[in-house]
Amino acid sequence: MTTALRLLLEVGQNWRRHAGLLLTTLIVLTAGFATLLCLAVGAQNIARVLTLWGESNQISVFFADDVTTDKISAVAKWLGDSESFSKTEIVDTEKAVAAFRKQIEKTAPDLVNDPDLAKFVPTSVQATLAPGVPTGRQLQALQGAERALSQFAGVSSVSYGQDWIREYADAVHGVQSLGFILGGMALVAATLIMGHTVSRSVQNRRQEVAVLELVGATSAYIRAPFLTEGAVLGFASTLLGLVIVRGLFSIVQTAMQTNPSFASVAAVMEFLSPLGCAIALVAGTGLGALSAWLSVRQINSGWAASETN
Amino acid sequence: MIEFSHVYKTYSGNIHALRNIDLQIDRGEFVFLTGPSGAGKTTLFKMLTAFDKPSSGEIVVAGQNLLQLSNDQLVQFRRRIGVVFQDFKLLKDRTLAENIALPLLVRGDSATQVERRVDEMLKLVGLEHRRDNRPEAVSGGEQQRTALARALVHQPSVLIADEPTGNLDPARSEEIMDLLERAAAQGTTVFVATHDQALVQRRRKRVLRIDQGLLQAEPSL
Repeated sequence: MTTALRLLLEVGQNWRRHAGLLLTTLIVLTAGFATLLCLAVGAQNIARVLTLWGESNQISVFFADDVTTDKISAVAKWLGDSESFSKTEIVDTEKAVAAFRKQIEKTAPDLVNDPDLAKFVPTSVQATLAPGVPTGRQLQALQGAERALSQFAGVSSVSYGQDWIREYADAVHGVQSLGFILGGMALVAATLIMGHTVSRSVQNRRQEVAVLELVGATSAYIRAPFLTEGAVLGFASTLLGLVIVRGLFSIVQTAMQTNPSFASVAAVMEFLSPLGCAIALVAGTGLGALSAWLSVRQINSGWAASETN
Repeated sequence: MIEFSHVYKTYSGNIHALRNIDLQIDRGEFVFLTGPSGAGKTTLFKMLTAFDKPSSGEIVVAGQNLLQLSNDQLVQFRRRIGVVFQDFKLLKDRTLAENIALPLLVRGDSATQVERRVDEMLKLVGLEHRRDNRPEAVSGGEQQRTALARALVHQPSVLIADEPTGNLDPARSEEIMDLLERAAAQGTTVFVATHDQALVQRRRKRVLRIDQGLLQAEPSL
């Protein structure tokens, strides 16, 4: 406890002496961490709104022509029993053709009375995702149902708008990959900036290091304040970044809530969970300590004192 | 206590800082090292404090061959020596008491032990009233006494002082020398580099002279 207090006091004293450098570093690092956090929050919410922007959250199970009623009923029962789905409905060929004719009567009136139409419209069972399924798990529920239902006898195909979802998922993947690249660059930049600051600090306190070496301080004893400085810098800039991004998130969410086109998206958007925030803080602190470590590796027994005259 | 055997130090550019140094100083002995600037005094002290290694030869201090010490052993070795510099090398952002406490803090002494010992040293060097002042707020003589207190606070077996009176007036110089002699009387080996011939002659101690890296015959006093 005393050691931790001593280290924090030393960091405070050093920062008072080099307030300008500290402030500049803190601003740049906060911007870097805020960018990273924006990317993290964005990536999280892109996945969350995935199913909202789909054509529907409906799953359709299509059957082969020779399917029997009991096989259709088995599928309908599975969907009816599933907690993830509701409004299960069997749509036989006759019903499907009627609905299809209604859909095309304006765009393709010549086809409406085509007697062969029934050959191309199979019997199906349709269901919609239950309202209680969390947004973030909807895609998982649809994919799971597809895998399970494809195994049923008589089923020819299962559809839940896979093409659209695949395209959207590809787009999400692209955005996330870009995020990883930008995030990686921001991380490297943050590490270098923190390392530079600690390195400057080491140079500014070279005589102090030399004196400590002369009186028999271990390398660990000498390095500890610098590592603490890096860790505190990482923690402070991550904390500030979290506060800024949380503020921005609230502004964006409020703006979306007032726009009817985005209100449903705003409703499912979420900021990082408390655990996510804690992980970000730990990671920022660790990154600070790591970059400081890279700068103070040079301090070993007699590094500064050997140049003392 | 201090033993140099055939010590050479050559820097790049074929600069011979030390040449065939043979030296023996016993426990509790007080020895002056004199010589012009650039003669090799600082190099010799760096060897003695293990902050530099000789190009060849052997250095044994307090029974330890300095060339064979690991990093951890070097740290332990430095805790057994004290060093005083002409420019004091006090930490400006710490009080005199905090500066004196450094050697005790780095070896992990308890706060009570540190405070007691620092108080003793402040009393010894006559700076009790300055304990909470920072170095820039006290005179050069007081700074040098602080540096001396820091070098002695952990009761080192060897005290090395490089021009400890270089910035002081004669009266203050004598005060410092008295303190060094007192340390020697208590068993600490004291090795002092100085330009001040008058002071050397007044103290009538063993004198070594170094010039162009060569340790010359000791002039008799």
